[in-house]
Amino acid sequence: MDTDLPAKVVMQQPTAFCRFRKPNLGEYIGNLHVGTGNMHAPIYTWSKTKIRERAQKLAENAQKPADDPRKIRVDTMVLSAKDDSFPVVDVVVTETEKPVYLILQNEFGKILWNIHLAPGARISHVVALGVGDIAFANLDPDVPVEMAGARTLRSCGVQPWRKMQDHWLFARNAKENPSLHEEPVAKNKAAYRKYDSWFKSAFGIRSEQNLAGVERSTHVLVGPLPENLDDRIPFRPLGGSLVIMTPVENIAVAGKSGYEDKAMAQIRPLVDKALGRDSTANSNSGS
Amino acid sequence: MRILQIACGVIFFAVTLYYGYIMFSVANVANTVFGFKNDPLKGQATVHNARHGSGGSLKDGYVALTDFKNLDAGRVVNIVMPVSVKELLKETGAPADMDMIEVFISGQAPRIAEAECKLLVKTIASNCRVKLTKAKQFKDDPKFAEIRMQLEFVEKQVPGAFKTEKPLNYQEVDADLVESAGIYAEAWLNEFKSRRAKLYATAARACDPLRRQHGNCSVTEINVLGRWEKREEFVVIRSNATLSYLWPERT
Repeated sequence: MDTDLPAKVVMQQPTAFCRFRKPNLGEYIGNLHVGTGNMHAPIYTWSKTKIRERAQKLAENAQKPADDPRKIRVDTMVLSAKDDSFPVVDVVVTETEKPVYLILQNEFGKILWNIHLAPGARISHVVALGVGDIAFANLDPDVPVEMAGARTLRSCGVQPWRKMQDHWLFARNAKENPSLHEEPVAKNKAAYRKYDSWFKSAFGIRSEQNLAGVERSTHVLVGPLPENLDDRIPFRPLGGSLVIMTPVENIAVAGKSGYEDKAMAQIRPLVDKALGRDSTANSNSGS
Repeated sequence: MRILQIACGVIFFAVTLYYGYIMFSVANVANTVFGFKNDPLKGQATVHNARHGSGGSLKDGYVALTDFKNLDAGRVVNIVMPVSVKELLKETGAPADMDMIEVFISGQAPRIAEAECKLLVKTIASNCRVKLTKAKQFKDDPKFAEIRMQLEFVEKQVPGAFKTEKPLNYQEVDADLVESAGIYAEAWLNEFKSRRAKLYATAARACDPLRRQHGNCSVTEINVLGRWEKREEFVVIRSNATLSYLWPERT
């Protein structure tokens, strides 16, 4: 994935208000809800708060004696490539009879939706609801996109929520010990009812209606499964694609080492100054 | 017949007594240090009450008392200290981006802890080392910050002797240092350092009565909590010391 670098990244402001264009009768609604993706894109983003927290950790680490087992030996260990990179979910659209209105929801952190279109398929509108940074790859730039991150969803008073399913571990535990789980189950149901009610008023359908929902996913299909193997939709890599994302404070479109270099170039001088060290004399301050 | 009854009674009494002794020993052995791994005395003495619970690890105070020359023995001073941010950052200056001030506060906290070590060496310690510091700016009073630090030290005064022929009991007592030092529990920020010096000097003498009574004693932990009262801009001080000693079991 480190060499799978997009050609261009464009920032797009998220939807400021809690209002979205409703799907119309002539559209096929692709309703997807994932927790997160399995694969990670070589696109890393991080906030100023993260820079501060990581620099602080490194400054505290510098004082620990050399034989302290908790001492961080390599200063890049304050970074988290997993948290900073985008999990990717491939959305494969095979519906060709109607234009597709995609509603893409994710529950955990940032997400990159990589769009694959079957011949003859057309996306008319996309709404993405998430709690972290949101990005798209291989989406036609002419398709209208409405992105609602954590801030917008807060103004809606909701966050993406699934109806409790019988096969969930949480639901199974609750069934075995109802008295122990009474309160969390009630909270879960209330959060779902709130989200479902809001979803119905925003998009005209129930949040679980015709839903492809899964906790972790690599690919999600919108439309019929191709009848034979030769009709499979060709994979569109991130490499060379156009990525559209909500604005971020810091970004590295690079392999892991490139990301580490860029992130540490912000942290190391800060730590050196905080410790009263000459940063030009010591380039690897935290180790 | 009468003799037989008396003999049976004596045997029953003796068996009961022996069984009771065995049960007492079993209960005691779980809390006893004798040849226990990591024991600084290395099996030279049987010591009761030196382990956590029944069969747990050695108590920090016991290790600090019996391994008194070792800086790693776990003899610590825990300090919570309010500081002026301006004073704290006098050597580095404030960061260009004030959002990063917490990094600078964390970066400079060890310097304050090193200075505290020097204060300890002037009073109670022959050696001192900074173990950790944590610092944060007060959200509701950003001109000030709180530094939490832990220092390891070796006491100047040696604990004294204890006889190892008889089983020993390990004992800890707490001493209120503010009361013992006879100082006010409230101080302006610029007075706090001299108050701490008095607390450390008081801690250094706190063991004297126990040493006279039992022949040994060591200050194995000191806590100094300086709580910042932002409205009045003074520090409320609480401080105590743990004194550890061994006393011979009466036989």
